[in-house]
Amino acid sequence: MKAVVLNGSNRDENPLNIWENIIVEKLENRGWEVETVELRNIKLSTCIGCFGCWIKTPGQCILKDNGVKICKAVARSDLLVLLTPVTFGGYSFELKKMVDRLIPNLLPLFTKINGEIHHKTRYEKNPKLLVIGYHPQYDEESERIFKELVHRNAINMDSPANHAEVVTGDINDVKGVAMLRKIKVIS
Amino acid sequence: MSESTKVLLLMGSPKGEKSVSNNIVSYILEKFHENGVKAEKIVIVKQVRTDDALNKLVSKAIDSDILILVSPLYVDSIPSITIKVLEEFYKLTKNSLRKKQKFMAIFNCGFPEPHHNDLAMDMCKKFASDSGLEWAGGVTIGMGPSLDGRSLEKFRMARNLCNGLDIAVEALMKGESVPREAMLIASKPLMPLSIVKFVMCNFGRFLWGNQMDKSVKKKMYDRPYES
Repeated sequence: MKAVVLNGSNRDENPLNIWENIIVEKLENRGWEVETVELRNIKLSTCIGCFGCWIKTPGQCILKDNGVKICKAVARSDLLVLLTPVTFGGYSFELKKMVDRLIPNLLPLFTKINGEIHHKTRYEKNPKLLVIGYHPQYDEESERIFKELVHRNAINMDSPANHAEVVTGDINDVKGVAMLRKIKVIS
Repeated sequence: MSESTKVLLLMGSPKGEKSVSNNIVSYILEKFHENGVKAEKIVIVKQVRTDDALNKLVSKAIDSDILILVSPLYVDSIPSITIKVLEEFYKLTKNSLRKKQKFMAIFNCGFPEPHHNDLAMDMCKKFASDSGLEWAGGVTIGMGPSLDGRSLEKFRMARNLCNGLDIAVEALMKGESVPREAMLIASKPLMPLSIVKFVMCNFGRFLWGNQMDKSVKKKMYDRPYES
């Protein structure tokens, strides 16, 4: 089983980096093959909205940088883990940069899901989605938006299962780390 | 509205000026200009390439009295470059005493149902409340790509959108928030949803195929990363 962990932390000192280690350890102990990417440290352009990945080189982004490798790894994975500071209820710039670049894994064509129009998936099998957000203090509205966003991303990515969690507290907050340990990684 | 009131439109499409968001911005700018208001536009994608340009953009946004974000929806949310601007704005303004500043957002998506934009709108509201801005209202638009290539008033299907935007601009110029009625009118689906959904689901291959070279059409369903 393969997992891809995308860390969308905006800075080096961040609880997400501690939690990334815990998640990787947890997955590896269960026999998963894990690939982690610190998005802020790699060359990654933002999506330019050209739809080249649909109408010029189907399934592949025309921007030849790390986004292509990550997209490939995600397409071949069983679990996609996203880590991000919760930004106005959504993902950080660093994480969203890559999430926007995942659209080559969809088809341009449409289908109806629960009566709504969505894109069809390109691949038969897509990874499950686990998203962990960090917010310094508890914020009800941020958490509501965040969980709804993960749910809608899972619909659009055709993820067979998804889980979202918002963790609060200081960087080395023992409680926060303990809470994360309890999160049941989708198995 | 006094002559010194500064109106700034942030155009958030990564596609730049050849975009539906830019069409909407142009329409709103014209409405302000017709009323003698000096509204300005910033194309975000041109201003996020260097830290210096980004700082200038954010300073200008902080300095405005009315800030209007017009953006496409990317993967259920705000495009990354626009998130970057909002993050920087928040970083520079948090914990500081702010002048009264209004913030309005307009989102468009490729799906026919305007409500796909609702979460992006919620994020903008959250950004406004976290950054001490007064939320002035929002408009959500479905079927965005059908408004591409021509000015907005030339599309008959955009008449509700234009009417709603006219009321919104009028209210903002009076120093008011956008009336709920204007938001509802502007956010009305451009065409009957049942027809559009039928066409998109059944003729999608034809609609997209028209944009592809013959050789690429055969590869539409390719799975280059299949293991």
